[in-house]
Amino acid sequence: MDNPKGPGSAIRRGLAYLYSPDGLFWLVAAWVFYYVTYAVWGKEAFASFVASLGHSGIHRFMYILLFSVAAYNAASFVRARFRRSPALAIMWAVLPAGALVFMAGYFLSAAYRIDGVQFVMEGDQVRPPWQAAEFRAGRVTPGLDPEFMAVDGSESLVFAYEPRIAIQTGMASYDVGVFPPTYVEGTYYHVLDFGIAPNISIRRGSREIRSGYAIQRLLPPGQLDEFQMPPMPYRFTLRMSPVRTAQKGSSAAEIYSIEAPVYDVAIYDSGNAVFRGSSAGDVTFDGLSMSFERPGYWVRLEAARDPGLKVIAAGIFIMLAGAPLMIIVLAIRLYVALRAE
Amino acid sequence: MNQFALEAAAVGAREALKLGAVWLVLSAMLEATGRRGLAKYFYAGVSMAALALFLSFSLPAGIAAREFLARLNGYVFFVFFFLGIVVLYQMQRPAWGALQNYMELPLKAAITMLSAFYFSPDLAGSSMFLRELGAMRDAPHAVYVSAAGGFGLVLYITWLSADRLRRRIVRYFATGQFLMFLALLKFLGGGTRGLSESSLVPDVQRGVMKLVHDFIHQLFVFLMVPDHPMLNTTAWDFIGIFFGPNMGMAISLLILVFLPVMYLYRGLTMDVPGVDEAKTGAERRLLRSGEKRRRARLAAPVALFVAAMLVSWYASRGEQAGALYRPSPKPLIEDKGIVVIPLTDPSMDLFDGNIHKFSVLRDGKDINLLVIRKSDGTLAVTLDACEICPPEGYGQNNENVICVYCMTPIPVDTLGKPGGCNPIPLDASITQSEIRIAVSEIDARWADVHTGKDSEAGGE
Repeated sequence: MDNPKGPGSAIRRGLAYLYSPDGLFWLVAAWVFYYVTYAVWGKEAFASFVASLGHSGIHRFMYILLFSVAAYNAASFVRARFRRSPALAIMWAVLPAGALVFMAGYFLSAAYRIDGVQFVMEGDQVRPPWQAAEFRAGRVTPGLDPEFMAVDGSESLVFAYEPRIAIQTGMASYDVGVFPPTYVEGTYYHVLDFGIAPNISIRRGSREIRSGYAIQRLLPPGQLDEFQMPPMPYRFTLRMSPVRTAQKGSSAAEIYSIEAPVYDVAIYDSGNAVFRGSSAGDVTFDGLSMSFERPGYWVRLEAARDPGLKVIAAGIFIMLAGAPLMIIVLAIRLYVALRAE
Repeated sequence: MNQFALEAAAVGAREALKLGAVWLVLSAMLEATGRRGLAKYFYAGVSMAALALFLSFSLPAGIAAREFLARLNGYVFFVFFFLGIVVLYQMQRPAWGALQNYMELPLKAAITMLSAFYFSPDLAGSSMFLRELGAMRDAPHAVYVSAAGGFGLVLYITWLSADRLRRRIVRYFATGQFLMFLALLKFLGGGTRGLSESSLVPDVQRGVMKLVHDFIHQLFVFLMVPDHPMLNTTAWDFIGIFFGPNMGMAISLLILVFLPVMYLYRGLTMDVPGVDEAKTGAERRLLRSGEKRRRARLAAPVALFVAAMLVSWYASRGEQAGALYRPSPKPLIEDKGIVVIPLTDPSMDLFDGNIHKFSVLRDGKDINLLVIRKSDGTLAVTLDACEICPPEGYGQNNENVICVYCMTPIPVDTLGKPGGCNPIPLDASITQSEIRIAVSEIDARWADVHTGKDSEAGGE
């Protein structure tokens, strides 16, 4: 016969209290107290908490414990009220169910997500470290019109379209945009940024010495970027300049081109400027000449392997559905309670 | 009476008002429950807090001490708010009555320690402020006398009206309500600077909004939502709502008032105990109405807390919006590949805790630098740009540096570390008299901002 004072009985009583509404209350209170204390006296409490879910056993254990206690209490509550009013019980249950799904997804993402970022142009390899297969980047669709306008030196730029890139696996081609991310054989991809890559050729006389694309952040126009072409000792700086201007009243609009851009070019050798001028004219320095062909386009591609992404999204949708239902349930309970007086 | 003396008197009055209000409510509750003897533990706690006041005279009144006291005060608000919520909810549980039997012994120690904990940062901080006020006026004694006068006058008025007020207010307070009242007092009057910073509202707002911002930001990272204008304007405006100050304010307010509101809701909807055992309808009605009246009285302080939160939250919204400090950069001249920022320039004090900006002309464009003192006394020297956002620079809001583009708050003490929204650190040589930065270092770090090639594969 079970000894009511034995250790087994004590463990059972302890678990019963832990999985009761009081237990849930104290678990949440403990987490709140821990978090706020860390936030006041430590640094970046939330980021530390999320990072801890990725590598700390104790944090993971506490999170899973909290999740299980919350789920148990939610299920008990629904079961207890189901007999009285099945409809109200189900309506009440949607929001907590969504919150639990969200919690589960958040844990999966925090604990198991791997991600990486790569600058990619058409023809580049796309191969995140966790992926065995190698993909290839296809055509990049710019986020801007071939010619676009910037007004009165404004530095802000919102893209006219969503930049996109095609990712080609051996079997299929996937069109990857900015949002939502595209799922390609176990990995999510999306575009984080877009820019132009000047196509540069450097010659000595008729002989080409170096050529290639330089991934540069030249957007919005006015941004200065630089690159080098080892083993050449030069440092090259570029800035987009307008292909023409349009004046209307007191406003001046500068027209830029991403298909045939013009650059302000400066070339330095050991800190000394050996050339300053526009790419519209001849760019010559130290017996060399530099020319710009039609640019390529690059995107900054983010890849992530994340088992929790869809779960988080599902949890959000369920909560959005459950929130108005919960308000209705609470209003009905309040009405019934007040009417009973 | 001059301006400084008036302000000192007002500070003294403010501290006396808090002390008097707490004493009034506590003594009323103790008297009502036949526990007047516990009052001496409250006096002991206040005495310990007064000790902190005198100790603070021996501490240097610097930025580090002020920041520590500001944090401590915010933490005290949280502790009492937390205790208030816990006790309010436990009071609605059947086990509360039995639990109270176990609380007698720790109650005396708790009253002493909590009283000391509650009043220490207020008294220490206010005394530090008065010291600074006295130093500005060059007549510290006049300031202290004014503060003592304000303190004594308000305390005397409180003592005179105590008997009349105690009888009226005791019906509205139980333990949980008292703790919420303490939290509210701290929230509205816990500032330790002058009258312009009397409340903790901005500090609490910042803290909770940072949590909201960090949570939303992390969620967007998980969902792979871009946080830059890569989408069309409509979609970006929709996403921007979640990062906007209105959303942060609303969610952070919801976090603070949700539990008190749920307490009020439960009070209205919970069954009245003992009604089923009543023999007659009249008895049942009597029981129900008595219990409802009791709950309504006890709900009043909690409702007051919620109302005060709502009003003060949105009243200080205007302060938040305009509070971003963005100084104009001072130009630096390059000399033999080095730029120098003097530490002893009479027109600026790099150690005043504010951000200082400087500009260096490179290839026809100004590159801005940022210098700020951290709480450990060292200077952080960075670019006025991060690796992620368009370089619109940073502003300052008390102990945070704020990215102007994405409004991410960055604690000052984390400056100097690279990554994320942090301004890009510069390798600078700091001597006794100046900061020296190589122009090549500025160029290299600025190039990192624009190419983004520091940690990624790809390229030409």
